[in-house]
Amino acid sequence: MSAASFEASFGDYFAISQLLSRTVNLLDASRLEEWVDCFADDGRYYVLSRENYERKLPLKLFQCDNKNMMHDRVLSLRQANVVNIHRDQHVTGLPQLAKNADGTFRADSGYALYTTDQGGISQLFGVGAYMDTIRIESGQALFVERNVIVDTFSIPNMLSTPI
Amino acid sequence: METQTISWPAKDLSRIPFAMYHSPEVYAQEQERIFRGPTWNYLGLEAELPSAGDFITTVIGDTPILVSRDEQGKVHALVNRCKHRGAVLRREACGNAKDHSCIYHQWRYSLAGQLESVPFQRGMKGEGGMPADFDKSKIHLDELKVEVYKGIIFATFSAQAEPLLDYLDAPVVYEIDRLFAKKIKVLGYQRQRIFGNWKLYNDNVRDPNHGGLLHMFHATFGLYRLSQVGGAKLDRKHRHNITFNQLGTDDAEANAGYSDTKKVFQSEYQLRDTAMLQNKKEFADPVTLVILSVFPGVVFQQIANSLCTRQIRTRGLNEMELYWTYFGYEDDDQAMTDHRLLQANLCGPGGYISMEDGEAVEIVHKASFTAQDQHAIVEVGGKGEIRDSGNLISEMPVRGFWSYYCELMGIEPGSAEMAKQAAAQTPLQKAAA
Ligand SMILES: [Fe+2]
Repeated sequence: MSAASFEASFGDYFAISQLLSRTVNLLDASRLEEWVDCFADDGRYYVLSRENYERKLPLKLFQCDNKNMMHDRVLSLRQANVVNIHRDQHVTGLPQLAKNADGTFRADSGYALYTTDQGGISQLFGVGAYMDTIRIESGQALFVERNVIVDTFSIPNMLSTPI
Repeated sequence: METQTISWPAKDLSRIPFAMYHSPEVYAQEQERIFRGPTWNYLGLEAELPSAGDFITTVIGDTPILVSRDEQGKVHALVNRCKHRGAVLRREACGNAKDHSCIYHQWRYSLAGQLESVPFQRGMKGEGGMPADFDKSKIHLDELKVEVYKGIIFATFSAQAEPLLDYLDAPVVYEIDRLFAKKIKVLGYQRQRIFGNWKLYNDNVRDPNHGGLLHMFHATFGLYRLSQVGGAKLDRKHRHNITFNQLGTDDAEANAGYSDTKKVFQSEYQLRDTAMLQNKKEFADPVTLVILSVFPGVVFQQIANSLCTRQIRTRGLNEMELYWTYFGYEDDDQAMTDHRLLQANLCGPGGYISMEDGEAVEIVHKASFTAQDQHAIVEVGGKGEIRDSGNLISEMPVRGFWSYYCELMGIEPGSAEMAKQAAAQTPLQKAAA
């Protein structure tokens, strides 16, 4: 990354770090309704396989073009879908930041996601990368767009909760 | 042989022995008699390899397959294994090449699978290399018989296989003609790794009854309910299945069937963004859901405007991968492509209405392991003769799958010999008696 592209203040860096950690902590605590609040009003959320991403194929695993679609994912998980009973644990890497021309930040980070079953047995669900566009307004960072590129794209059992 | 100790008490296949999902001997026989037997196996779509030199790698059962388009445009299905030392020949998922060379010793094959060159065939200065009688013209990658229908590539290992269209039979051909009436374009892939025997997924897709009971998204938001107009159609051998249904054809009275279930039908919940649920009418008929399962390992899907193929890839006795190929039509405008992509949220490993199938297969696989002398009950929709169903409350196509499976495996369900074995007690039962 060029020095010129890196103009984040400590305040910006702090706000972005707080957003990134809050997002996965909310998922791990199954506070999915609050997870939606990590997105700006015009926010978008996509989960896509490394396979499609590298072959420039547009298909996603989750495609939420707006926050209503995120709410619907959560509603369906709560009320309709039957999921494998598990708890999530994300382990995320430090973000690499760059500033976009429109003043938003680009943040790239890695993740590993483990799931633990009711018997206390944990398994790696997958690894991958977050490629985020983040906007900071009055000190608060929110996702404009979160792309989850899934390296472990042969999804074990099912993809139920967001990554 | 292991299969002969497995009991098949019901001639009409209304009882399936759980041991069939767990026996290593059965699994090995399936690879030989089903996947390398007289069946037609889905390999991919022509749209995935449009040009000369294009190739994809896939599997039939556990056998690695290289699908290669030669200079003349002909599609070849080759076992993806070098004839020299048995190494995987093409390691990439897809690509374009002038020939296929093994990385191990650089044996080079044509796009049609013919061995063309071996490095240092004559050695150096009269020493080393291949013997004088080595004839590379006699060495060709193992090649399967290919038939392409409507851009779908099928192959068989067996010279005894009937012609593809006879194998598919009229009801299936009708659905393929409908779904592949226009040239398609691939939108992407999804993969779902399921820890269960491959036949459990075949059972799953031949069981329309579970659609409105397990996949609660359907029922909750009204997309697919057992009370809607639909049914199941079979080919003459009952090995394939077409489950179909029409949106919005149920009423309050029909929904009363859900009265003794919890959580299944909940009219009070509504999605905030219903764009995904819209069906943009594109077929002449009113059918909005088709799940077409072709023996032994592929499903063709229309769910509203979401179209895909699902290939069942075996990964040993206890694991399988579902390989989903999503497509639209070449003449789709951007709005239609966007709609198909949005609607892809409905299926796949994260699909609103399909994510549960992985879990269903896994919990059956897990618990049936310790019940290998017991049998699954397959009676929904009736016993006896296997026939088409006029509604979705049926699992009769499951019996159809097993009837052809048994034919290929040489199993005679309900025969006197088998019945005798069924009556024989296990040591544990004897001890209990
Ligand atoms: Fe299902």
